[in-house]
Amino acid sequence: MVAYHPPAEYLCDYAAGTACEAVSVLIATHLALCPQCRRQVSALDHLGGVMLEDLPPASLSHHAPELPTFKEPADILPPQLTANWPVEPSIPEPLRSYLAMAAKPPVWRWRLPGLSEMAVAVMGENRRSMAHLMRIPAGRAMPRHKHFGHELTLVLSGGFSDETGHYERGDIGYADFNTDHRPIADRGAPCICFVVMDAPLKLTGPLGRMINWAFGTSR
Amino acid sequence: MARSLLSDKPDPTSISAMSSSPASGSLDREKLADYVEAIAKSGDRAAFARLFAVFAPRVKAYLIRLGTESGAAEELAQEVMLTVWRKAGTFDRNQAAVSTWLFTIARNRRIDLIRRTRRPELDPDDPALLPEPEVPADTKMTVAERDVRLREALKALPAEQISLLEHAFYGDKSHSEIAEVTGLPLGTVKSRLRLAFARLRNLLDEPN
Ligand SMILES: [Zn+2]
Repeated sequence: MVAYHPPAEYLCDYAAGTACEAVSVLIATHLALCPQCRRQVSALDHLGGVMLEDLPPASLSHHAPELPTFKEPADILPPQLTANWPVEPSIPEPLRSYLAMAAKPPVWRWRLPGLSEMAVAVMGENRRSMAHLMRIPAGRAMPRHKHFGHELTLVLSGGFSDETGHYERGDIGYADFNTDHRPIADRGAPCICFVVMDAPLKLTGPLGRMINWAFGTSR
Repeated sequence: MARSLLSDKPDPTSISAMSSSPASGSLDREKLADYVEAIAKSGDRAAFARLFAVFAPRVKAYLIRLGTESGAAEELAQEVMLTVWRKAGTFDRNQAAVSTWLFTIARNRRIDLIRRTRRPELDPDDPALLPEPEVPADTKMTVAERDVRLREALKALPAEQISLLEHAFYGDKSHSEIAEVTGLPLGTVKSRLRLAFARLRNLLDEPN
């Protein structure tokens, strides 16, 4: 059972169609794992429909379009997209397809002690936000860090704990300017998360400050 | 602008009140669903013409509200209606109202055009998807009941929360952009949207 859901404003952006693509992928992937948020998004879709009903109609300058002959198979079946790379099947759609159809093979890159990352090719808001998978080895702690923007973290496998709670598959962690935390992966299996953020994180522990300096993320 | 959400009837000064098209307060939702089913079953062109008369002008109005220029809005509205013709078979009247279905098609087509990709959506056939827990059929709210609840809930929302929902759905603004254009602190935008949402949710979740 999912215990941590995205903040309402992100569900609202997703339903209204204003969320950036990266946030949309994260929310839609959470929806695959969370019947509760699925119901809420369908209530927001309903709200969109109510608004559509209540809009004063605009006048049209053309008549109805020429209708094609009914039931053309090509119209009814969505185009088949082919995967370029094999991807762990437990990763739900739509994230799985983003990984499988990326131009380059998805690979893990070591970033910091206790943290590997895999870039996900998806556009964020104003091209500022970044999306990636994050992997923390079983039982390891991430360096303590602070956030300079907003970050949504969707757990795909394993789990982690920090000062705010314990997160498992399907849960979404939310961090903002006020969050200064040190996530620790559960024992037994590595913790893999999909992360969308709109500013890089800044490490705050003594080791972290050195790494910030070395990676040029210090401000 | 805030009235449009709250009122049962369209603005009396609007075109709809003067035109012969049915006012939103009197849209017969069951009939609209019948039309979509008639298209799915037998390619009923008369049913399509009726749906077109009701929704093409509203979809166009929606797109214009979102900043689409009138000519492009009409073209897109025509495309949305063509999608209705093609995908009528995927409509399920037990899941959604026709207007809800139309809204999602219009929203997604617009996103496709802007981003030139498909809107990321979950795949209902994905083996990784966690299915809905079984709910006894008699405790499930019907689409019509949800509609009544939603309109009641909207009426009870404070104007400041309605205004944010309008920015989101009509203004093409994400919550952080709303903060930028309104000058409201981001935290205020977030907390108002969360409040609005909590109230809608409570109303929609309550069993009868
Ligand atoms: Zn959820």
